[in-house]
Amino acid sequence: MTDIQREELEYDVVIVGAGPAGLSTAIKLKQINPETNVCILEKGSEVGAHIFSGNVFETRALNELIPNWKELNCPVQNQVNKEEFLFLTTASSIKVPNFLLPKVLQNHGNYIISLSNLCKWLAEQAESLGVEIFPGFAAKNLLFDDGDNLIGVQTGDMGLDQNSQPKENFEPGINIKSRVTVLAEGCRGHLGKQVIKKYNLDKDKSPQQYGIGFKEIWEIAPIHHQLGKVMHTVGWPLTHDTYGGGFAYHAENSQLYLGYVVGLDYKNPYLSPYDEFQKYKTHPAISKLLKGAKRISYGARALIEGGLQSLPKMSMRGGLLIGCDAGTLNMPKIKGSHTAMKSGMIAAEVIHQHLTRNSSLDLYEERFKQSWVYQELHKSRNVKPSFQWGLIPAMIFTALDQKIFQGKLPFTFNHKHADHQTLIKAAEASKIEYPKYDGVLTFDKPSSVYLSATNHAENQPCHLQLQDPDLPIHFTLNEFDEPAQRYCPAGVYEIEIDNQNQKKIFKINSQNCIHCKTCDIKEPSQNINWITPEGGGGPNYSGT
Amino acid sequence: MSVLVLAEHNDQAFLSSTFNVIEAASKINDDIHLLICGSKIENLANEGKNILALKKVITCDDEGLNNVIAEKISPIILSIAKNYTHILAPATTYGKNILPRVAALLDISQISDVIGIENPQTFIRPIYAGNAIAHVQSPQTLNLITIRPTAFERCETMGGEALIENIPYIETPSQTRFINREVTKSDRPDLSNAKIVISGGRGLENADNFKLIYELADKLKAAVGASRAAVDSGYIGNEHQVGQTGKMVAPDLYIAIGISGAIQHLAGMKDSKVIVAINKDVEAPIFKIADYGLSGDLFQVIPELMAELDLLNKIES
Repeated sequence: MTDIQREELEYDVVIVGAGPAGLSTAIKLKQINPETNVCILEKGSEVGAHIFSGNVFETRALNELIPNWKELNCPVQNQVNKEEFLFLTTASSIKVPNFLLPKVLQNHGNYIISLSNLCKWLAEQAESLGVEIFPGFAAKNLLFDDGDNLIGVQTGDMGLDQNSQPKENFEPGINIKSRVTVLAEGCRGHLGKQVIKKYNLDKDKSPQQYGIGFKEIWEIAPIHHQLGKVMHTVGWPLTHDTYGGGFAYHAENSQLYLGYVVGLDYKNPYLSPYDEFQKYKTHPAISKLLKGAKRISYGARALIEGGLQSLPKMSMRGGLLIGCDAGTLNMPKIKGSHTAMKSGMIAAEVIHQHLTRNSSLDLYEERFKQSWVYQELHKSRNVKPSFQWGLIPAMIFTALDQKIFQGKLPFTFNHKHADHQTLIKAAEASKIEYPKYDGVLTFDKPSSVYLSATNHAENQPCHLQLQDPDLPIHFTLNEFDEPAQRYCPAGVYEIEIDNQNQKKIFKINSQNCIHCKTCDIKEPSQNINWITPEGGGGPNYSGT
Repeated sequence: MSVLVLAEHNDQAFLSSTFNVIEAASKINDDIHLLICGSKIENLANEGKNILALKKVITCDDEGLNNVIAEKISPIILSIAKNYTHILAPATTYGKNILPRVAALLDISQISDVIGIENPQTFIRPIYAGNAIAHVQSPQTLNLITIRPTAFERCETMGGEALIENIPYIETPSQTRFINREVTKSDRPDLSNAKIVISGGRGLENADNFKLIYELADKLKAAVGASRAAVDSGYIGNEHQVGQTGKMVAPDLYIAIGISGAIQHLAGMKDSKVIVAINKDVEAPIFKIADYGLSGDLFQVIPELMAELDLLNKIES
């Protein structure tokens, strides 16, 4: 669709993604200079619809950005007042005393929040400062000039059918030209992926590392609810060679934010992160909280875990890559929101200098290195790599590295593999039998996807593109038993038998997609490319 | 307080939606009048006066009304609108064609697709594709409401003694004129308001096998539905899809064949009065909500079922 006339809009700054990073950039830009023209494109139907996070929030960046946030009815109110770290075995749990925990896992002074609600609030602050926010509009393509400088983005065409032909309601996408383009799409943003490749931003860096995070919101019985309590677990049900762990945060309205993270560098192709999470809920330490409770929400999202070693260059000609789109999450702290916000605030300062004095956007690297985000990420950098040695050695190393050496060990471990390279062959792996769903604590995928309120307009092009459409059946199925059937948390990918010719087919139920990006990350041959579907589609998370 | 119900009909007979809307009206007030706009509608008027809940049947009988043209019917409604506090129409193509025009001409807001009446000023309607139910309180002195027919029972059609009143046709200049009507010839009832629906799912395995569903539907004079899996695999067109993103149905009898019963499908049919499931997987979730379940191979069961139906028909005739 390149030959149609498209409308053009011009802004000083266009930001892709109304998450904590993008919103902070916009707010800070307007604080520095109210005359700057800033717009934010958000593919979700409203701000917050695609925001999905634990979330125990450190207010450091918020304090800097909007110091009087408490007086402005900010939805950051539930202070952490109790903490527990448990090592789970098959039937019981061992509590790790808090004083033994590294500082990164101590949450005194932090808040249990819904990041989706915080983003809604940040969006209100941004709009009152004159930022234009466009929900329901997906930034589909990057715009470049003849010199290969980034000059803006193009929103997706609306109203194309599954063969990419215009339907009755066809509307061509709009070209948004800007002096600076900020990519803040969150973990594994599809445009971020493109610029990293195009500009070689990850040159000399470790391969990026990811996890998949699940979360359910449960309304639990008041006698089991302890407002402000934070619980983290490691161990069961994951085996010691798989990175991951669980969380349970007691939120307002008798709600429990219950979740699980599985590192996507797992090796067994039969592992199903979704089923590990469902199994997790049956552990007595968790199931006792859920007696008489009702599940009201479900979702999943990939997390970026590579830390400093994998953090790409965040600046390019005409643009900046910030927040989780770059990889500013502090994995040992299990927090990325405050670092995302700060990365956005730094971006605003660098952009302002660029707009007024034509200084280079590459100044970002310097400013970032001087910031507390960098210091924080530097301190935690060796924790994730140590998990290559297995859970127990990693826990011992982490205790040494963080508590005794305060993250200042004079070496840096690198990540050896990209997550998609770690699967062993199905023939060499042992099948995992997961227990049946009981419909009380554990549920099947369609019932879970239902609670994410995900929806995509009917009859549109499939947004999950296979480089080689035959690969799943001709290769991945034999080699790895097509793990897409298991790593997708929404049941998008199925192996079916075509009854006409008894051949196996790789079915893609793109309607179910909850935009988590796990397939884009974990597909062993990198055969699946996630691009954005029509704007407004995807999950409609609320209160997550 | 007075309620006017707009009758949906084809000049010969009332469409069933009319009876559901009258039932809804009776939840607002008992002073209910039925407006029949059409051509040669004497028989309809006589049928109407027997409807128990009605106090009055108002007819506007003119050749100019022999096709459903919103531009011609709305002035008729407008001429008597001031006598009423509520004007109801079915949330079908008929009602959705006419009532918004009346609302616009009166410059008031219409309340659409109502599934429940809380009180004469508060109406219940689904929003976000049925994921949430809104209770809408209206301060308007006149409320224009479209009613979802499947949400209400049929009213009692006998025992009434309504007065019949004729009102004059109002000729209004209009750019719109009737040219042609093309009705899809289908002996099968419309899926949205059929009394019996037979739905097929992934278990049918291919489009050819769907003829089993069509045959069974013909024998039971039922509409044909399908699950998303069947539609996505190309077994049948998506106008037959029942579910969260398809049609919502609430027939007297819903027979789900080769359908597992994922929650997205259930969302579209769980209000059916009687649910029958046929599936070879005993563990299929559909059996949890089915009133009658048969676990077996549908390719054996359906032909047996059809044979039994044939036998029944022979006995009855």
